Amino acid sequence: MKALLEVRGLEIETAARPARELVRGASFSVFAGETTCVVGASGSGKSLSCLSVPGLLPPGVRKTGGEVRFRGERIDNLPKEALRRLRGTAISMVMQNPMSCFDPVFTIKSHFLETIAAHERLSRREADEKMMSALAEVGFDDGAKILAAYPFQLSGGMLQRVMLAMALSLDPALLIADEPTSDLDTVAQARVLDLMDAARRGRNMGVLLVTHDFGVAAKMASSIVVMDGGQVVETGEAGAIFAAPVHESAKALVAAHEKLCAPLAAEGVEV
Amino acid sequence: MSTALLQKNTVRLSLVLLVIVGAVAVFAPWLGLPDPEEVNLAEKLAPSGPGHLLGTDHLGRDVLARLVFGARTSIGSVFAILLLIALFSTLAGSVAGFVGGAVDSVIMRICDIFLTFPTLILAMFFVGILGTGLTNVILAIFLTHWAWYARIVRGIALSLKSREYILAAKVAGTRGFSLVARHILPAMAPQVLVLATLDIGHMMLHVAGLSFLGLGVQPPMPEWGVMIGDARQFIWTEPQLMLYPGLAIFIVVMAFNLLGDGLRDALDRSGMLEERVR
Amino acid sequence: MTALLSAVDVQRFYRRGGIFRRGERLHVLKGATLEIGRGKAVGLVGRSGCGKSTLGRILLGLERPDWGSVFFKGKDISAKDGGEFAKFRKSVQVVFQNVQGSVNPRMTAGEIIGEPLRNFFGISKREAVERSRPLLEQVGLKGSDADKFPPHFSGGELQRVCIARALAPEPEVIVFDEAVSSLDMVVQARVLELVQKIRDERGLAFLFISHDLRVVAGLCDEVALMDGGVIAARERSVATLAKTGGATIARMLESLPPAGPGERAFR
Repeated sequence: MKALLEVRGLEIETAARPARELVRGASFSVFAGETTCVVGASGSGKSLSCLSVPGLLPPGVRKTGGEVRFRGERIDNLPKEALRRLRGTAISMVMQNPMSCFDPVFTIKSHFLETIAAHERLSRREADEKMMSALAEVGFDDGAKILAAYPFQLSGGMLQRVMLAMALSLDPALLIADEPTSDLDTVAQARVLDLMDAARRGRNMGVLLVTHDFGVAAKMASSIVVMDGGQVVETGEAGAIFAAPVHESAKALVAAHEKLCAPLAAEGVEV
Repeated sequence: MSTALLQKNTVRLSLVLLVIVGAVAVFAPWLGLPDPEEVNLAEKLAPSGPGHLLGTDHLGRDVLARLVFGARTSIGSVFAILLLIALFSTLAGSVAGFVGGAVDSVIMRICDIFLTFPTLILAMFFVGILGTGLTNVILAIFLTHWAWYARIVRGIALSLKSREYILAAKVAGTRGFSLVARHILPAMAPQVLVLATLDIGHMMLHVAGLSFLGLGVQPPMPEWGVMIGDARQFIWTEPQLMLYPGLAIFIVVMAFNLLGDGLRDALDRSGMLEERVR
Repeated sequence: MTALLSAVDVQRFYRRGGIFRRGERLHVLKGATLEIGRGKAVGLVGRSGCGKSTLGRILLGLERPDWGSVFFKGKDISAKDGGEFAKFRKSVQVVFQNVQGSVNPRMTAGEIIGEPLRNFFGISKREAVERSRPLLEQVGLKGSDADKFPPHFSGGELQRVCIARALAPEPEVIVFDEAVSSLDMVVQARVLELVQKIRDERGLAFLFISHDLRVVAGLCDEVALMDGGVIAARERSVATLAKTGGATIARMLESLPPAGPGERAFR
């Protein structure tokens, strides 16, 4: 089977002199209908690697090598406008901090409309329908109320679901989620992850999920990419990595996760 | 921060200019210049020459000496205003922010009243009440600007109040004056400093503007705005009389603005300044 | 025996001006009662926004309750005079969630840890910095780190600095307010190890506030569940809490990520 997204030999450096290597030769792929989790400690380059896919590297950082293929075609050397179109039609993103992704002076509706309008022309009614159905997909029965709300009136978990709805409303083939649940409590986290997983299954969508939490990877991943110090140190099917991690940092991640789960299991909470 | 700041050419240039202007202003009495207030009608409107480098004005006073001593007045009065504002607005703003509640509301409503009027018009109003003169101009500009600073300081105070490190310092037993001196002022100072630097030029224009209108510094005291005002009648015959003080104002105001911009960028890069300064 | 630190029937309102409606009151705590015994580690769990951090700040004396009282060694802390309050202040310390935000970026690690030493033991700044060095070693950093500024530490290291600061005045209780939630998992595990070690060595009482049951389970003698602004249940362990705690705790348990791929969630 051909990969939906294929990243080969990705190199990322700081733009400042002297350049510091942030990602060195990272390669990974995402298949349609599957979730690839990029796992690593903070500073391992996992977020940058994924942000570079849709061309969204932060200022001061640039890609210096490697190639990114989406549906077999190179997208890393596309002009800005083409990349923007791609982001609106085929690749969507969900970011870590939902609070900072919304401007507090605008309603959810105006944020949502902005996203939709940036990528396709729709009549007001079509747009409304689209927003309502996207919100319904992430479990909001009363979409109108959510649309009328301001960002600070919603909890972090709700905002993250709204962000997911906005991403899904563009009907992407690939969803990139950068630590989407790190700021949420465990209940909200499970909700968002479940919704993401349902969308993946329902649409045969590929998901590239960045996380430091091996528990999240355990729940979501078909394959896992472990990053450490800017390099991909281990790649494999999720079960295999959990059962027998090879690289030191993969072992450390699995051990930390097991240790975190152990007390609950020991107390007799069923696992 | 300091290295990042000095890497910018505009910042270096403005610093050099300001240091020169500052030094000249401070050491003016020892530069061997003629008395700026000495009237000598025999030599009025003299052209540039060995006796008077930039010539003389309509009363025969040395223009260079008036420019140099005028720098003392202009810059000195601006720093006096800033000092007043730094003390008063920081106090009012912090009290409003940290105490909150009714105190906050009262202080902020007073600020609103002051902020409603355009500053120059309000300053003219105060000068009208207080009377003309340098001290009153300083007071008037302070009165018209403090509210703006108090507002911003209050914003900083509000964001600091809930900051974990302030809470942690309280838990670590730091209270009262120590809390302010160790944690609150150092956090506020850079932001207020940048604002002030960006605002110096604006205030100099105010001082000069009021003096030009005859509401500020009174002749014969040398001041750039007064000089421009005096030169008005000779604009066609002796345009340089207006040009020199005009250039002086332009250069110093520009230098302060460039420095302020540089400071803001440098502080922003180090992440200490929140989105507050615009 | 009286508890070391306790909140009795604490209520707290927040005024939210002009958000939904002008001056709407949010009733965050609706009569919460919680005791922390000497040397006990108490976990306080609940969903985000349930008021557990507010209760933490009230127990720390950083916020005053609108109703109810906080007692330290049997005495109401709001009634305490200066000297008594200083004793309370020294004995109840805190470690916050936001690691970068809870240190003054303009101070070195030594000055940060030295701050309580200066305040509570009346020593000079220099002496305080010197005394911070062994504390840094106790939390697994180097004594020479005392001269470094916060940006030169990683998140986990900085949290160790914060723990050292909390240990400095030799307190009797430390409140950990989501202290490991913002750290990544490997670092989280190491910091938790450190917390466990400190507890074994010093026999301090802890209040461990977290939304993550996994973190609390390994560390605490008792677990209290906060729900709807009150302490809804309090048990010896998460497992017993799961049996008695009702819907909220069940929801929290089933939401935990599984231990491995393909495995079922906790129940």
